[in-house]
Amino acid sequence: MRIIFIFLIFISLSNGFDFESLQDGLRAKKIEGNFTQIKVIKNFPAPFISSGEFSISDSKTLIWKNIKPINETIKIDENGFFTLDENSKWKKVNQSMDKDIFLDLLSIKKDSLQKIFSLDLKGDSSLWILVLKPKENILKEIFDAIKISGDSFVREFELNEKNGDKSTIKFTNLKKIL
Amino acid sequence: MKVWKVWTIFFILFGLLGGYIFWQKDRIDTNFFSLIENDEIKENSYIFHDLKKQISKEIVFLIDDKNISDTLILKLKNSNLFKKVTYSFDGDYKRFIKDLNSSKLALLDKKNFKILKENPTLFFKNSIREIFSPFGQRVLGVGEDFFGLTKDYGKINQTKVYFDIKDERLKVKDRDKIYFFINASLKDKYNDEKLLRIILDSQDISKKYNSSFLVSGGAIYSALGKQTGEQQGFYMSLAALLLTALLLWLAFKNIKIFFILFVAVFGLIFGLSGTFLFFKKVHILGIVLSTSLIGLMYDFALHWLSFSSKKLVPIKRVLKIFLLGFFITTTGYGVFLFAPFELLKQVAVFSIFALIGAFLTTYFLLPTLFYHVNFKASRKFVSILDLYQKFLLKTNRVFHIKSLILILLLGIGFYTFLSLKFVDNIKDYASTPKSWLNLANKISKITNVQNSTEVVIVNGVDFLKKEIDFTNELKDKKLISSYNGISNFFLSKKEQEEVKRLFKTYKNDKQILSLFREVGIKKDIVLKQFDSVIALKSQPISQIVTKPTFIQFSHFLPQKDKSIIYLNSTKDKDEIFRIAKKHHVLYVDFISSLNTSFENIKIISIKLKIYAYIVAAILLAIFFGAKRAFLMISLVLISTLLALFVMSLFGFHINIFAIYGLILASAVGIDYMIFAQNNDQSTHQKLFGITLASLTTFISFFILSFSSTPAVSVFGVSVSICVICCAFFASLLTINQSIKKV
Repeated sequence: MRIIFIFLIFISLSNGFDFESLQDGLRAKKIEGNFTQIKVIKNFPAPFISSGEFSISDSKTLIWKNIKPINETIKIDENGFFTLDENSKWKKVNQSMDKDIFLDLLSIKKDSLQKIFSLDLKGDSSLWILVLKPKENILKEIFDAIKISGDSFVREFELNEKNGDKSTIKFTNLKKIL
Repeated sequence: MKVWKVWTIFFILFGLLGGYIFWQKDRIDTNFFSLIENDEIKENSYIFHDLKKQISKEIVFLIDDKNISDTLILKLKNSNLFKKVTYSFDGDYKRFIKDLNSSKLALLDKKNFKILKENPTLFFKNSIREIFSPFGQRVLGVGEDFFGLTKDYGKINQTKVYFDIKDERLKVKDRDKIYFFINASLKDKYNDEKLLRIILDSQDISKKYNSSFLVSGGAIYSALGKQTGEQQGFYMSLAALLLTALLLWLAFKNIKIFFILFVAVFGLIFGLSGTFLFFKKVHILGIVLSTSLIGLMYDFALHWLSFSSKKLVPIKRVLKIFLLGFFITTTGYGVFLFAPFELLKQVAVFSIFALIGAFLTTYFLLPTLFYHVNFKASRKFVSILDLYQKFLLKTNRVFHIKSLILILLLGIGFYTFLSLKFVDNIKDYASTPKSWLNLANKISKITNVQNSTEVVIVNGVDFLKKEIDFTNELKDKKLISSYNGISNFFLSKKEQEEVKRLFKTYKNDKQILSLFREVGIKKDIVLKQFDSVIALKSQPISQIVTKPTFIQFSHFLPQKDKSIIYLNSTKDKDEIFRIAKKHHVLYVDFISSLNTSFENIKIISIKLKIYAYIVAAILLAIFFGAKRAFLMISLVLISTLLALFVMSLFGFHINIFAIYGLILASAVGIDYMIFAQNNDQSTHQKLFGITLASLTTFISFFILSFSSTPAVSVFGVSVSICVICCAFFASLLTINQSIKKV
């Protein structure tokens, strides 16, 4: 979950690499595209790869549709976490995590982010890298840093965990509806 | 005996007994649940009492403003009042992960365990989903916990409190409101006033900033009660002391009269040390009920002093009447020795010793203090007494219709018994303000932390199996909404073995293995993961709860081979009792058991008091003749009925405190009746003694009736009404007999 928090913020980046630009980018009504997640788990010979589609509407609702190898659709909005059941109805999931964190991140609340991470943005609008280092003790125990890179969109998200696991999410076929 | 000898003996006795009490003070039992008469419940009540005590020291705060909660945390930490202030994940993360890793089998959620048994395909599909989902909430990584056995660890405590990574704070959500959650555990010894100051100050700050501030905790209520009690106690004692002092001054006009206090001091010291001598533990309620004897203890002295016109008569002259009063009163309390309840036996022993102490002090010490002292009542007091005497004379003229009055009073008595609320509810004894209790209920609702008093105690080597079987049956029959118990949080060793066995079976299940193959996970990897679960070591829960991460759950296992369960929202208690019996577990609703015990104690006390009346009537008949004895006893009974009648008019519950008030007052009443029979005294002297003794007792107890603590208030009301009635009838009897003589 912690992986997805961060990339969601940056998926809607448009032309800039400062926070003002990020927020400008978020003004898009909808962003959609494909994703591929590669999980490399320590001591496991092969990575776990999954892929699917996603969309973010009004920076308030995320739909994450995993197609391969499992079929599962998740929605996160101001009412909480939901999964799509076999009758195509949203079923609320009792997530102990606060959905407000997601929504804060979706709307890139710089103030909130800076409370948790130190932010380091490098590059230019054609290729930039943002490194987030956790300030808080527990997050520091979980991972060292999160690397997000992109151009007019976020293209890749990478998280190196302390236990040796590594997760990368690559985004393709990105479209922005203004 | 020479004065110095008397003083030396009393001084030594005071030192010895006082020292003995101080040395034995830890034997005072404050566990109210130990009053439950059922031995098995009583034995286990200490577990519940200790837990309650522990819980009462936990203070929970919910605040919807981060700044205010941060300020409060700082205040709590700097106050030096608390052992621990929990508001975040404050453990060692590496240790936490290590503990989780080493307890994977036990941490499999009950619901998931059921799915594993009944629908393994769903279980393993969920495991696969967790592996690929970026939204899973597992704490252990895929490499450490491939099948996600520990993925629901966050829900383990069933409360709605969660850890928010963003703020690194514990929070709880109520509809659209998010509260910061703080739990502070008080030290064993803490300053009540300081605690209240912090809480009330924070409440004020929250009000100022229009934020919500919810707080609950037993320690707050006891601090509030103590504060109110202290204030009340102070003003009440002051008022009683001043009024009594004024009365004694008006009656004796000599400062030395206040030496009479020695009687109460020695009486109480004798009473308490005597009780310590005979009982392993002395219950606080017994002490509280017995200290009300103070009024009675003064009666000997006041009766003797009432002889004084100018000079005191030798105390030997009143020895006979003293001994009669002493014997009847001690018999009255002595009958409680035959009660089946230890509390009543303690009251009996305390009372007997206190009366011995009071008697000895009055007989031996007071004469040394009052030797050559001239007591003379003030004119005002004498004129008021004269007026009272005239009033009594007038009343006596119409008293020839006493048989009619008797019938009327019996009628009132009958009505009284029909309309009395003859119930005990310990929840009504205390005086916690409703606003605070509402806050506690609100917090319990928001956090889902329930504070049940319905407890099940499970014993034996196979206690976990019993706990599981019992709670399963209750759940199946929908007799409880939920329960808090160790089996709800962890799988037993046997269940862990069952998990391993199931994994062994599913390892060879082609359908299960194909689920992994379909998502591209190779068979050898999956088999290796199955093997790693099968190789895990199952552990007894008693061992798991010793790990720092799970130590908070250890209170569910108070002793080896013994567990405690709290039942939430129970239905059909009789059925639960039946099921508990079937499973050989002990189901106790501590509050209702205690209420039942109090009601039983009350009924037995009334029965014993009737026996005491019979004994008193026989003794009085020997001394004064059957007719007079009957009259004396009847008047005391009528006074008791009148007191009950007045109480029922004002809607008082006749609880154990009311009954004890009446028992005490009727014992005092018999003394007054005896004093009324003393032919050595003039009518005026008798009236003086009875009126003075009754007024000192009345003042002390009537002031108690203004207490906001219902238990204290009802005690005060019952004693004061009954005493004043007894005194009136004793005075009337005095007048009646003086007229007859003439």
